[in-house]
Amino acid sequence: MKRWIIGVLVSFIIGTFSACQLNEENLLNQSGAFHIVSGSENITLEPIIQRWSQKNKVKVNISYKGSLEIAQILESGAVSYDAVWPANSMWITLGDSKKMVKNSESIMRSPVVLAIKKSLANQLNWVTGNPTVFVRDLLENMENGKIRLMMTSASQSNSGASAYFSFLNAFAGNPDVLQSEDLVKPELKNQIKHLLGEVNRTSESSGFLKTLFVQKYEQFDAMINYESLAIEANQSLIKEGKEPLFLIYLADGLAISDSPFGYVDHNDSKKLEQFTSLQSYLLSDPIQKEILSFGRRTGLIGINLTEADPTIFNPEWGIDIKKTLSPIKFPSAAVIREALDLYQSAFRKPSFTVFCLDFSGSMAGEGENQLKAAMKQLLLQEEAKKHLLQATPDDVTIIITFNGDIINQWMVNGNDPDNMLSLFQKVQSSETNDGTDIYEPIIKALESIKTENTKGNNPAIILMTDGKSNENNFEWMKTEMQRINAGFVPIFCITFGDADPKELNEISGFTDGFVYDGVKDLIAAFKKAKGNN
Amino acid sequence: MKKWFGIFIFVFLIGGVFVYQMVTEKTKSPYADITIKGIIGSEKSNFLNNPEVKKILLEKYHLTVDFKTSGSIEMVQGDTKDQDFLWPSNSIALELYKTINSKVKSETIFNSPIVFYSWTPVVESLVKLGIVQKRNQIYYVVDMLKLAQMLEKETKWSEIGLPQIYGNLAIISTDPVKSNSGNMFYALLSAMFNDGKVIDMYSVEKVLPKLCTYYQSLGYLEDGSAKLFKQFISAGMGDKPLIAGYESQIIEFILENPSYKELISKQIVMMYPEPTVWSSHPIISLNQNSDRLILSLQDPLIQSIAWKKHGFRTGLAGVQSNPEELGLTQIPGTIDSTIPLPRPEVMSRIIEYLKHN
Repeated sequence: MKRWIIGVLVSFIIGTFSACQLNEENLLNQSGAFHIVSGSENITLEPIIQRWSQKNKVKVNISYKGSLEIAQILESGAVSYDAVWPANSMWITLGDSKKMVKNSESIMRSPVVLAIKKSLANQLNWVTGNPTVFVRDLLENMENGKIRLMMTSASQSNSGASAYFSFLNAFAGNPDVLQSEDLVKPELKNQIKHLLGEVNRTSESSGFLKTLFVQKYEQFDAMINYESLAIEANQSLIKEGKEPLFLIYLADGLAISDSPFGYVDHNDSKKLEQFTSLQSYLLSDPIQKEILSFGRRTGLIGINLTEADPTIFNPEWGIDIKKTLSPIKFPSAAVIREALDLYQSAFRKPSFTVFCLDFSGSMAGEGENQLKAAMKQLLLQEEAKKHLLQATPDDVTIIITFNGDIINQWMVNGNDPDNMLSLFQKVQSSETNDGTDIYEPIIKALESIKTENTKGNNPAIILMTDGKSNENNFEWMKTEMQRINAGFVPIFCITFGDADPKELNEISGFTDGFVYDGVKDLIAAFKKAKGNN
Repeated sequence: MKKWFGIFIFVFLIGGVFVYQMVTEKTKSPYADITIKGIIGSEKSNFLNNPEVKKILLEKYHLTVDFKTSGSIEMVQGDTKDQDFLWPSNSIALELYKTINSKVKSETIFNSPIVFYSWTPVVESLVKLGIVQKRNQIYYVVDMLKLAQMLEKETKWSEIGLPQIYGNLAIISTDPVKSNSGNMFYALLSAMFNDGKVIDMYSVEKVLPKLCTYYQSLGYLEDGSAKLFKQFISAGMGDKPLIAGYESQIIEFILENPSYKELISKQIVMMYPEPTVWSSHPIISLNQNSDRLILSLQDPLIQSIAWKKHGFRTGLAGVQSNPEELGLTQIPGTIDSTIPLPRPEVMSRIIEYLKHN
């Protein structure tokens, strides 16, 4: 009898508990999720936001994109986000021509610095005596092979754009501010093109660059990134027992990220209320202190800190919290646009991209249509330009169509719009049938890169598929890669249709690529894949 | 029968109460609740977001204001469809609007002089050069002509004893082509490039190339004074050593952050140019709905909040704003040295020239 009573009690308690949980979930759904698009440098701060989310029972979704991509989203006017959080308020001003963003406030500051292995900085006499280092000093040492540099893509990320503009300034002879006339000088064009060719790898965002730099520590000497992310990199490097980086605040190449958090107005008073609450929370004293402990500069007045934890803002790493930071002047909005356009079309290290397109039977219908629409956006140059994805004169594009076997292979050198159009027409007229082997086209692509890429363009493979392979396997691919002695080429997988990313995760994980959902965020996927070039 | 009579009385009473309530509700206020939409200069956002202001507007005037911000010049030249009012920061914007639209109803709500903001080390250098003077706790730029000459000669910060700041001496404003405070600063600067005299349609041609060279040397400029001021405060001396803005901005900032009052006065200095120019903040009414907004903003209580919490001097004739009410010592009661703005067609000429050269 007693057991019976206990049983009922237990069921009652469990029942009540589940009901509570259900209620909580309902609440989350009822209130609707709050969507933020943020620079990837803020990934580390996500737990702080999620705490607010739990306390206020508002679900928060954060998408991470480069700041320039955020500007482009604003410019398109089709902004599905409730708030933006780019690295620099300049990108809001440039993108927000429709005046959708309001109540924006800087949450924290971080300068863009040159973070370089300390022993090398020492060798270059950049450590003792607080010497002034100029952009030309960096360029000279890249030229003579002493510094192998990593930076983000200037057409996608704020830190990359900052570095790019400081390079342009230096090559233009340090004018007060860069003008349109400077950009057309052939000498400047040659110099910047040569320099960007020397930059070992470009990432689409600063957060990813930091992670990659730590992973590829032996292959590179320095990166241009935020002070905050250089601090994070040093924390990881020390944990791994490696030498930390020394931070150089380039006298004529410094930029400051002010991380503005702004509301995107969709006439929804509830969302505005949520935004205001989240913004005040981020600016509240305890949270500002916590953000400071993540190596971001906080405080109401100025970028200098009155006090900071020396194990984080470590003087041994070259960080001086009292130093006056005098950033470069960005050119006018028109010159910024012109320079970014040039970066994409002429200055960027040319790419050698092999697209492997799945035309197997399982892609028939939706998948096939999505794939063709995607290729249209990339190959038709007028379309591509809208997203700063246009090809450069030295780019090489190869398309391999496959099912269980290789169906076709076409190649276009350069960026002639007519050639690209005819390439698209070939894709457009391709048809789906038969089984799938995603591994053979990869090997075929690697072979092509090995034999054709004589100019040393940056290679990448973009595999567009639903991921359902029924011939060959990952182990076979690895063995084949060894057999043909393939070089290091990242493989980016973009999924379509009813996709199964399991095998794709294996492939891209092995080659430092990524798997993207081609339906949800195709342009971002292309950008990431091409930006990594 | 008795039962029916009871029910009848009951319904009658309820109905009576209902009708009475409706009638008294009607007589209590002459207004129905409305929301009006408008575009304003960014420096006034905090004022309109102030809960006290919102409450008075709603309870006394039955108004909710839905606004977005834009540069004053941009807003009068842009699309005003779906808007009830525009609230630029100056009479030039109003005049520009009048050139496109006839029959414009407008009313000046606030006044605020253009001032310079800077950091203590910069101000100390300017004092040494005799450009800035401190009188009765207040800083004045007493030699505007000399300062303008230094801009023209591309003097470097390092030449005036500030090697820690990179590049040339500059007074950063908002983009004069888009935003009012920048536009007014260029009105002031144009007079300085014209030996201190207000420019007209003839003298403007002489100063245009100088103004344009200076404008182009600054590169990227913000489109709103609130953004510029925030960046000035948050990024520090190295980023924005010297800016032009409204007097109201620092007052509002100190009143919002009272615990920082001492730190602000130690680090940041507001300077009144002699002469300066007035920014007048007129509301341009696009339909009848905004007449009520004009009326409500002239309410003495609202005007008092605008001054005591946001630093806007009253725009009402015959009323003076008393700096003692703010508890701040660096604010003068009256601004004695001002220069009139050039005529609207002259300002249009400047804007067009800067846009296209």
